[in-house]
Amino acid sequence: MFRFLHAADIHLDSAMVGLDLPEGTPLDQVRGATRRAFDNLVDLAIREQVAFVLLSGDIYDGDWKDFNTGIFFNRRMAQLKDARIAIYIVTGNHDAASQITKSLKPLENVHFFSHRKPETILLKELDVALHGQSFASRAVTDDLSANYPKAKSGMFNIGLLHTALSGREGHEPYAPCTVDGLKSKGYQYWALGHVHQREIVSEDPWIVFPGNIQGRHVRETGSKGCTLVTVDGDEVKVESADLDILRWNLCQVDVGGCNSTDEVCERVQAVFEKVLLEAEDRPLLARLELLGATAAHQQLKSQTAYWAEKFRGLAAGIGGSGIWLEKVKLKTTDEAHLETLTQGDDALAGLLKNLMDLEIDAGKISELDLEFSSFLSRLPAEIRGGEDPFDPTDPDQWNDIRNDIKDLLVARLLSAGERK
Amino acid sequence: MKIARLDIKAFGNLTDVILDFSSETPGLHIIYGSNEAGKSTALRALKGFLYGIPVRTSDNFLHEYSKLLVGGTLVNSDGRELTFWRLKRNVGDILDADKKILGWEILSEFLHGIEEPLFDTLFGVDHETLVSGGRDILEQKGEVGQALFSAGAGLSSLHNVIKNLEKEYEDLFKAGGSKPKLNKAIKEFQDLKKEIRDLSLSSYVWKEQEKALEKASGKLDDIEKQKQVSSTELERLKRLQRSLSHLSGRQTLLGRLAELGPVGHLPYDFSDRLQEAVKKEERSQERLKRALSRKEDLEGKQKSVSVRKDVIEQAETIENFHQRLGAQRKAQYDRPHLNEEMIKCRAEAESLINQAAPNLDLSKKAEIKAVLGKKPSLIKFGNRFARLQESCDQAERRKKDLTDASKKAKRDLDATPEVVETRGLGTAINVARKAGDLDERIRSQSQETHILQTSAETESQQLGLWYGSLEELLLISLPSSKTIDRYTEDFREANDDVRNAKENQDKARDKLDSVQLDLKTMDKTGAVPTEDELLQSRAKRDQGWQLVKQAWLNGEEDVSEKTKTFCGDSALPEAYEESVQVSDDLSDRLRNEAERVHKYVALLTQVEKLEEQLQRWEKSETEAGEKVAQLEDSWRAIWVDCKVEPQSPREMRNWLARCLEVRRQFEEQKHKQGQLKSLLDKRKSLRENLLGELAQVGEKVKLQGDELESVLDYADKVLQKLVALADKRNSAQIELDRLSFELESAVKDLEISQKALDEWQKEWSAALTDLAISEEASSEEATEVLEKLQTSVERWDKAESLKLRLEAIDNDQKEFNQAVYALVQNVAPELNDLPSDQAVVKLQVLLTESRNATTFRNKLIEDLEETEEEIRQAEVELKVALDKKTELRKQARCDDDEQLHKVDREFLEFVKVNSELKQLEKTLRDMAEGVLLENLEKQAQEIDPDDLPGQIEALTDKIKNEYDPQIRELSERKGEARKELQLMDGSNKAAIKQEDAQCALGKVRRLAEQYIRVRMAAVILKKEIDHYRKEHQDPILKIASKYFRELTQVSFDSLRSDVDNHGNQILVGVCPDEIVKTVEEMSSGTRDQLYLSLRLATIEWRLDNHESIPFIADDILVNFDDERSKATLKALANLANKNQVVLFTHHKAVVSLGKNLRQDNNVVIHDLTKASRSKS
Repeated sequence: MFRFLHAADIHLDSAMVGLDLPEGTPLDQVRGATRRAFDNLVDLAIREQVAFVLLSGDIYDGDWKDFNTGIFFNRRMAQLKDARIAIYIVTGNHDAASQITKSLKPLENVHFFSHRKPETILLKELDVALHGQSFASRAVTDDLSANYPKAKSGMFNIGLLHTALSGREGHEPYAPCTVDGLKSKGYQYWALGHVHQREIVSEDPWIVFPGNIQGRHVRETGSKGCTLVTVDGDEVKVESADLDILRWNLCQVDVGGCNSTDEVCERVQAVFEKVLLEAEDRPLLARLELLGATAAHQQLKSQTAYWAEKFRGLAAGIGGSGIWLEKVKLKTTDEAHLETLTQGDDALAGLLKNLMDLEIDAGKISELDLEFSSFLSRLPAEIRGGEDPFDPTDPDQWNDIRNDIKDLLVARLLSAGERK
Repeated sequence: MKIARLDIKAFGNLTDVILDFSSETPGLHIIYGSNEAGKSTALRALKGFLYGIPVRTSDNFLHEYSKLLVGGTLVNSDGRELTFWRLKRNVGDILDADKKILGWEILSEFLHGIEEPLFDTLFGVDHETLVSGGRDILEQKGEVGQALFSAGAGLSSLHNVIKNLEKEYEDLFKAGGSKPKLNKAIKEFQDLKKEIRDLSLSSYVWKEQEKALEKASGKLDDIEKQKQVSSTELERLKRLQRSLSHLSGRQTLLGRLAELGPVGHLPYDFSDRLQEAVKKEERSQERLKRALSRKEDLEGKQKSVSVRKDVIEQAETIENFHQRLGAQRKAQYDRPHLNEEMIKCRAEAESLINQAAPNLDLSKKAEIKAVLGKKPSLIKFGNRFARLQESCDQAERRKKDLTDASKKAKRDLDATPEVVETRGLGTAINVARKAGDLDERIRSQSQETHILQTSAETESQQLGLWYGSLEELLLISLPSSKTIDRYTEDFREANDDVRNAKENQDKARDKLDSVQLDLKTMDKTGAVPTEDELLQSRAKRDQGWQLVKQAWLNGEEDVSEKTKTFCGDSALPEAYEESVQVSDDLSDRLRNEAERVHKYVALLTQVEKLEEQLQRWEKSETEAGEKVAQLEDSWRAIWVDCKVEPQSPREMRNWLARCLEVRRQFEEQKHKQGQLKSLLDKRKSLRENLLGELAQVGEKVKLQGDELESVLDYADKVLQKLVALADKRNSAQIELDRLSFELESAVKDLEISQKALDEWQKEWSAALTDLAISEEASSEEATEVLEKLQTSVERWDKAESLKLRLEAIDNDQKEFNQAVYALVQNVAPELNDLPSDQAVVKLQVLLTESRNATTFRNKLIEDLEETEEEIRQAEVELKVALDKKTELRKQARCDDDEQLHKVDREFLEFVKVNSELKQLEKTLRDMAEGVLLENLEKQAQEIDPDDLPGQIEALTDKIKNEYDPQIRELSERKGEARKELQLMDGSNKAAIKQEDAQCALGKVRRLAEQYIRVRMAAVILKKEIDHYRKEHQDPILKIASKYFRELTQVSFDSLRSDVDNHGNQILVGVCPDEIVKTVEEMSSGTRDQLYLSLRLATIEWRLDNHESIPFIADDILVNFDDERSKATLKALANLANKNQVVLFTHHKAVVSLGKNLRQDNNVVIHDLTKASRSKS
C-alpha cells in the first residue's frame, strides 16, 4: 500500500485579479494566498506520509520574473526532502515561458521530466512506473501522449501530462489528445494538469484534473486543492483535498420585487450569510451582482458608487471569516412603468430615445467627446488588454454603459423635478 | 382627459369629501383649504386616485390602511368616461362602481402613457418648484436650451444636475490632473509597478551576486590578517615608549629604601599607636580637672535649700479643704435667692385658696385633697349637659317642619278630582289594536281585487280564439299541456322527416352533378379506355383472326361476307392488323393510364349509386307528407269541444298557458272579494264597540266616516288622560300618609329628650353641694374652682421644700469654719487671724511652695553623686595612657621621648617611599599588559629610545593609510553583496506588491467605468439639450412670450433668444420700449413668472398633438403681488378652456381673486373647509 499526491497549476506568487478592496481591509489575509496554499500542500504530503508528489505543470506564472519565487519553491522542496518525499514534475506552458525554471537548480529529491521525449522512471520498491514529458516551449500543439510508451506490465503505471485534452473552455488547447488515446496506453492513472477546474474525466483508468490549488479571480470559484491517491494492490482510492486559504464566489442576488433599498440590503445580507457558511471558515472574495426588477432600481442607479460602498460595508460587517467584495454590479431593472418614459415625445422621452439609438465606435465616441482619446491613452495598458479588456466601444460594453447612462439620467432628472 | 369628480371617502383627515369638477369647459378649479383643513391631503388623495396610494403613506392616522378609499370619474376628450375607486393595496387596488376589481390597463387609455414620475414633473408645479426653476434659469444665465429643456421635461433644477455630473467626473479624472481619484489610482498603479521591478530579483543577478560575495570575503580575510601582525608590533613599541620614564623612577625609589633600612623592623602602625597614646594622656588630664570644679559648685547650692515638713504632712487635708471651698462659696451665693422664692410661693398659695374656697384653710390639707379627688367625675358629668340640650332642640325643630308639610299635602289631595273606571275602554282599544291596521288592509285588498278584475278582463279579451264570457271560460274543458306537447313532438318529427328527405335529395343531386362534371372533364381530356372496350376490341381482333385463319390456313375462300361485316370495304389483312393494333393500344393504355381508368370507373359507379339514393329519398318524402296530413286532422278534433279553432301546437301551448292564467286570475279575484267583505264587517263591529266604551267614560263624540283609525286614536288619547289623573291622585294620598306617620314619631322623640334634661339638672345640684359653689354654676365654672384649688396646694408644697434646703446650707457653713480653725492652729499659727476661706487659700499656697523645695534638693544630691563617679574614671584613663607610651619607647629602643619622636619621623618616610614604589610597579604592570617586568626591562635595554618615535609613526601610517582603506572597501563590497543576497531570500515582497498592483488596477478599472458613464451622461445630456432647443425654440418661445407678457402685465413684451459675449444662446426678455433685459437683470419674482411661462407654454404647445392632461398647481401664487396673481389666474383660466387646471391654495386672497374672474364661467371654487365633514 502506498499513497501519493497529485497537484497541478500552482501558479506560485500569482496575484488575485480584479480586486478593488476598500481601505481598511485586512489585506494580510489575502496576500500570499498561492504560497500559503502551497504550504498546505507540503504539510499534507508530510502528514499523510505519501511516497511521492506529482506536479503536472504550471508551477510558476509565465511572465513572473522574481527569482525569489524560485527560492521559495526550493525551500519547500527541501522540507519534503527532509521527510524523504520525492517530487516528479512535468513542466507546463507557463513554466516553459518562465525564467525561473531555467535558472533554478533543482534539489536531488526533485525530478523534472525531459522535454525532448517521453521519459520513464521506475520506482522498484513500490512497483511504480512514471511516464512523462515536459513542455519544451510555451505553445505545444502536438499530441505529446502519442509517443508515451505502453504500460510496464505488473507495475502501477502513471502518466504525467500537461494538456487541455480535446479542449476545455477558457483554456488554451495545448498538447491536444483524446481520452481514448490515453486509455490505449494501458496506464492505471493519468495525472493531468492545465485545466483549473477539478474534474475526474474517467475512473477506469483514472484520468484526473486536480484543478489549481488556489482560486485567483472570480472565474475560479469554489473549493480548490489537490488529489490524494491511495493504491492498495488492485484497489485505487481517489480523494480530493482542499488546500485553498480563501474562496471566490459569484454572489448573484435576485432583488426582484423589493420595495425599498432597505429590503435590498436585507436580501443581500441573507445571501452573504449563506455563502459565508459555504466558505468553510475561509475568507471569501465575492463579486456581488444584483438582478431583477425592483422599485429601488432608480435609487440604486442614481448613486452607484455610494451603493457599492454600502454593500462593501455590509460585507465587511458580516463577521466570521469575512467577505470582501471584488466588485459590485447592479444589473437590476426598474419595475415596468419607467419604460413608458421613452414613449411620449416630451423632452425627456426624446433624450432617452436618442440615447438608446446611439451606436458607438472609436470614431464616434471621440466625435461626441473630444477629450475621450486622451482619457483612453492615460489608462494603463494592462486594463486595455488581458482576458477582460476595458473597451467602451465594444458593443456589449457600450450596451451596458448606455443602459447605465439611461438609468443615471432618468434618476437624476426625475429626482430633480420631484416636488418634495 | 379631465377629472370630472373626486370622491375622497377616507383619506388622511378627510372623510366623505366630494369635489365636483364637472364644469362645461375643462375649467380652472381652485381648491381652497385653510391650514389643517386638508389641502395637502386632498392633493395626495388626487395623486393616489390616479396612480395608486403609496405603500408607506402616513395618511392612515384616522382611517386605517385597509379603509383608505378614493374614487372619482375621468373623462376623455372624446367623451368616454371612467369611474373607479382606489384602495391601498399592492395589486387589485382599482375597483369599479360595484367594487369589482379592474385591471390597471383600463386606466392607460385615460392617462395616455403619462406615468407618475412624468406626471409629477410635467403636469405638477408647486411654489418650491417655481422658485427653484426660476433660480435655475438664473444660474444657467438664461441659457436657452437648458431653460426650454427644463420646462419641456418639467424639471426645476436641470442646471444642478449638469453641474453635479460635471463635478462628479472631474472628481474622477482630469487630463492634466493629479488629484482626481482615477489619476491617483493610475499613479498608484504605476508606482507599484516600479516597486515590483525594484523588488524583483532576476536569476542572473542572483548568480552574479553570490560570486561577488565569495570574492570579497576571501580578500578581506587576507588583509585583515596582515593588519593584525602590524597592529601587534605597534602596540609593543607604544608600550615600551610609555614605560621608559617609569622604569627609571623605580630605580631611584629602590635606592632610598635601602638608606632607611634600620627602621624597617617597626610594625606598620607604629606611628599611629604613638600618636594615639599621646592624645589619650592629654584628654584624661583635662577631664579630671573639669569634674573636680563641678563638685565644689554643687556642694554650695545644697546648703542653701529649706523645706516645711509639717505642711507637707497635712497635704491631703489642705487640698480637701481647698476643694470644698468652691461648694461653700456657691451655697452662700444661692441662699438669698432661695429665701425669696420660698416667700413668693407661700403668698401665691394663700391668695389662690382665698379666691377658690375662702372657707378652707391651707393647714387642713387632707380635706382639700379629698375635694380634689372628685374632680374627674364632675367634669364628665358637666359635659353631658351640652349633648342633652342639643338633642332636645333638634326634636323641637323636626316637629315643626313635619306639621307644616302635612298641612300642605292635605291641600294638594283635596285639589285633585275623583278617579273614573277605565278598564272597559282599555280592553276595547287592545282588541282593536290586535286586529292590525284594518283600514290599510281594506284599502289594499279592494285595490288588488280591482286590479285582478281589470287584468283578467283585459287578458281574456286579448286571448283570441275564444270569445265567451269569463264565467263561461271557467266551465270549458281544455286539453292538457301534455297532450299539446305530444302533438308538438309528433308534428316536429313528421316535419323533420319531410325536411330531411328533401335535404338529402338536394345533397344527392349536388353530388351527382359534381361527379358528372368530373366525368365530363375526363372525357374532354381524351377518351378513357375501359375494360369493356378492351374486351370488345379483343373480340374483334379474335374475330379477324378467325377470318384470316379461315381464309389462309383452312383455305376457305368465301369469307367475303363475313369479312364485310368485319371490316366493310377494307382489305382483311389491313383490317386485322388494325384490329390487333387497336386492341394492343387499348391494352397499353389501360396499363399506362391505370390510375385514370380506375378513377373513371369509380366515378361511373358513384353515378349509379347516387341515382339510386335519389329515388329512395323521393319516396320517403311522399310518406312523410302523408303522415303530416293525418296529424293535422286529429289535432283539430281535440279542440272541437272547446269551440276553438287551433293553430299550431306550439302556439296553442302558449295560448293554453295564457288562458289558464286568465282563469287563475279570475278565480283569485273572486277569492279576494270574499276576504274584503269579512274585513269590512269586522271593522264596523270594532268601531261601534269603541264608541260605546267612550260613552261609558263620559266622552260622547261623533266621528265621521267608517274608518277605525280616527276612533282608535281618539280613544287612546282619552285613556291616557284618565290614567294620568288617577296616578296623580294616588301619589298625593301616599305622600300625606307618610308625613302623618313621621310627625307622630317626632312628637315622641321631643318628650324623651326633655325628660332626660330634667333628670340631669337634679343630679348636678346634688354634686355641687360639697363645694362652696352655687347650684346654678355651670360645669366650666366648677372646673375652674377645682383647678385653682389644685394649684394652691402645689405652691404651698414647693414653699415647704425650699425652707428645708435653707436650713441645710447654714449647718454646712458652720461645720466648715470649725474644721479650718483646728488645722490652722496645728500647721500655720501665723494664719490664725484670717477668715476661714482666706486661710484655706493661704494654706494651699504654702503647700505648693514646700513641694517645689523638696524636688530641687533631691536633684542636687543626684548630680553630686554623678560628678564623683566622673573623677574616678578620669584617673583610670590617665594611667592606661602612660603605660602605653612606656611600651612604645621600649619597642623603638629609645630612652626618652625626644628620641622616640625622631624614630617616628624616619619611620613615616620609609612607609611613604615604599608605597610610592608599589604604586609605580602597579602602573608598569598595567602598561606591560601581561609582559613580565623583567622582560620589559630587558626589552627597554635592547632598544634605543631615540628610534622609538620613528618606528611607531611608520607602523601607524601603514595601518591607517594602507590596510584600513582596503578593509573598509572590501567590507562595503561584502556588505553590499550580502545585502543583495539577503534580499534574495525567497521573500514574497515583490509578489505582495504585485497583489497591491492588481488591486490598484481593479480600482482603475472601476473608476474608469464610473468615469465614462458620468462623463458620457453629461455629454449626451448637453447635446440633447442643444438638440431640443434647435427643434422647439421658435414655437415654444412664441407661446411663452404671450404668457410672459400676460403674467408680467406687459412689463415685458416678449421673450426671445439672443447671443451673449461668450457666444452662448441665452434667453432674454424684451420690454415694450424695445429694451432687452437678461435674466440676471430681472427680479426673482419675474424669473419665477418666466419659468411658469415656459411651463405653461410647453403644456399649451403639447396640446396640438396630444390629449390634454390636468395641470396641478400647488400654491404657486405665494410670492406674486395681487396684480400679478390676478394676471396669473387669468392666464390659467385661459389655459383651462383647453386643459383642465387644478389650483390648490390656502390663501383666501386667491379665492376672492378667483371669484372675481368667475364671469368667465370656467372658474370653480371648492372650499375644503366646507366640503369636509370630519376634521382632525
